[in-house]
Amino acid sequence: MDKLIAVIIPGEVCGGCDVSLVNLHEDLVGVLDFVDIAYWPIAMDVKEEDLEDLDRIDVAIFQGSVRTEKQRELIEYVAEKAKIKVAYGSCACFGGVPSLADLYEVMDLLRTAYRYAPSNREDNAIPAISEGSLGLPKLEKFNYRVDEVVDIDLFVPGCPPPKDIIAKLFGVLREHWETGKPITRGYVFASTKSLCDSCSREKPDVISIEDFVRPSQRVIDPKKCFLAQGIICLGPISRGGCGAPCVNSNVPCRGCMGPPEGVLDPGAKMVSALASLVKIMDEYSLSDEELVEHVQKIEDPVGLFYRFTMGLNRLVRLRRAEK
Amino acid sequence: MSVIRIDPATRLEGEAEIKIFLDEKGKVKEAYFQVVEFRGFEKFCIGRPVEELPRIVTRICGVCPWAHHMASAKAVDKIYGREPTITAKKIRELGYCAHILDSHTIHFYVLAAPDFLLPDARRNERNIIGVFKHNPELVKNVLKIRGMVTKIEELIGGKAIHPVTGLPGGVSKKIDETDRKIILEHAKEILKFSLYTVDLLRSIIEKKEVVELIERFDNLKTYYAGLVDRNNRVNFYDGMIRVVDPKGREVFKFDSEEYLDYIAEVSVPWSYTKMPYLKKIGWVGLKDGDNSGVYRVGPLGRLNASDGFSTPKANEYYNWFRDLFGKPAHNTMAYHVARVIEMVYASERLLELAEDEEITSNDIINLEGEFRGRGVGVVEAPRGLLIHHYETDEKAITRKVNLIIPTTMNNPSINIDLTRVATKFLGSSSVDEATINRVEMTYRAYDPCLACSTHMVGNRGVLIKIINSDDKIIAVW
Repeated sequence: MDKLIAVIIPGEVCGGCDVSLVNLHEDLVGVLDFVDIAYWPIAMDVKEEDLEDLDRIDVAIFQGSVRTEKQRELIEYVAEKAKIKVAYGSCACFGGVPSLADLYEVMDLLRTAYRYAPSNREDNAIPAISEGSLGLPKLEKFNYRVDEVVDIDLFVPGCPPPKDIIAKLFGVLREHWETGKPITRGYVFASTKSLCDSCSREKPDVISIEDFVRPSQRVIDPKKCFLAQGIICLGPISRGGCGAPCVNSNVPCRGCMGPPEGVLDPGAKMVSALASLVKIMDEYSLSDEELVEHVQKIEDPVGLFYRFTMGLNRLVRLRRAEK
Repeated sequence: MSVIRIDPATRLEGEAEIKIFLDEKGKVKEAYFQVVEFRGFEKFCIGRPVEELPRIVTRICGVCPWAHHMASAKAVDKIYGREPTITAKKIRELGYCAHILDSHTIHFYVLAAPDFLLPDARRNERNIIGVFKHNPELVKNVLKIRGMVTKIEELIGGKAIHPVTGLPGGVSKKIDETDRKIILEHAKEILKFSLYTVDLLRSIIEKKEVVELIERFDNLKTYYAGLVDRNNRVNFYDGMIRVVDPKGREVFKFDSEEYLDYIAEVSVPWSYTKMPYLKKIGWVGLKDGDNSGVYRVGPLGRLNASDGFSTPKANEYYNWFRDLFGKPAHNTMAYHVARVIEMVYASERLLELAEDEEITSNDIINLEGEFRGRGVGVVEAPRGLLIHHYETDEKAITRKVNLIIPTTMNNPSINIDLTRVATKFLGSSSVDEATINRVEMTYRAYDPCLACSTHMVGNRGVLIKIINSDDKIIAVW
């Protein structure tokens, strides 16, 4: 039987998704039993013309968000040809950390990097904008999720996707290869429920806190629920199934798995989750001003609640629609 | 120079390009290593609580996330004025040694070794999958060792890729005795494998045809910089920054906090990667030599800027390296050799730390200290010196971020080197795949991490374009 022909297509990436595949270690050898990786730029000496030479693509694995026109063109070109399209990793699925840049204008990003940073010279050029750019491509205004650019069949969340979840992806692909079982469109390889649902930390029935604190401000109890210690943890709005490496290492969840089933805007959901889950001691005796003071102790809610999911932020989406 | 129009036939492009410009006679005039993407971490880290940055900046690079996590954690320690406990420092260094091995094994076996092990293979087979077909036992062994390395990273960092455990003043998670024993057993195996790797490379580079090939690559006479301990030995986690001149003499030695007195960056309109240089020597453009502030970092920079290693086997190899390439070693191909010698050091140091009883202490975080609001964290990333500089307001909210990345530091040298190699190997008319591979071997020796260099994408699909004096693309690889 012919192997599945797979290609791995980078958008705006850090390389962590690639390494997560290398880190399947010996299991990678098992994958090569039924998958022929025809294009994987980080590991293979390939050029993009090689894609044109392929007579078919069975699986396209898209990594990273979409930031430049040429990334968009590449993704569209491959999607046209590919039978099964996979969004792999948090950037492809939700925008990821780089989508925090969507809070700013492109020129702001460039000026900060090339002019304002203290080791820069005042007369520094701005790449692609200043004279003599030798064809250097300009940036698009925003980072886009891959599913905003092309239709996606399967979603593999995580930054990077955990080993068990990658194994499930290849399990489904193997079954499809062996039996022809159709792919469930829109399937997300993780739990449908929140991380809290499977968390092993001790959680009281009623979470009652004195104040919100930052992880730098106290010794963190390794057994107790973070929220019950006043530390913001994104467990309530994050998909479980990651194996909880962060909370098990005694640091709070930052939401790289994206929202659980049914949640469209994770930040908005976090606000309502906090309101319903957490009681600030004597909450009912506090004035509105005092309550606001407490809530303002949550530093940088936008950067925190949308750490990996700015691509799902409704306000950012509206702003995009305007432009 | 006029702006080059890209031929529409080459619609699909790589994320970095090498453009080689020819003069009227068809001779190579200049070559540019052009990095075409950008993400903007310096801007979007602003406004974030500074203790969150070690978990954000890891996403600059998924190949060396530990380097960014460590440099960031060290900068944040300083902002909070907290000296990490002895055990915390040891735990961080242990995890970091595992990471050096992670990154170096990926580079050597996945990215570089196919050139050496399968020099005559076709382009689309000259890769790790091709090596697997050729020598499955070797690849299985590489994967097994990488499994051990990443297991150690997971035990220390929570996750092997994008670790999470660095907190201001220490780490979030201790090592218990069971973990220590696992690490110790793995470290012994890893050391054996590192020694095997040096011998493997040695057997290749001592072949006559390889010696001749290496000798054809130019010597780039640059300055070199690296982090050294009190005895001027290589150290990945901590120390002073030492700079040597093209003759190998120490010219500067400074604390990371003073980096702005020594390092500046110029940017160019044709690449998203900047051009750092030694401020006190000055920027004279893309030139090497005593009067140019261009300096190199990474395995070659570290071996040249130091007087050896603190562990016995690595130090033996250091002496062999010096005999082979001289001191300082200017040949770019020496990067590969320096890199595998560092695998030996990282393995020996890993073993030392795993044997250290203090490593399992409960004293893993210090919350005391006088808040400073400014911090510079420096480590040796696998690809060289890495600087993270943050400033905050009084509530420890980030207000300024400056990141100087090893591949960026090597960017001027990569450009000079490519022009030289292109001039030397590309004849006036004939351009074949073998000569193109020399060009590729040059940039690959630096292990350029493009994700890092503009805080953007990975090392992938580098296109080589040859452009004639009419600004027309005449060949593309």
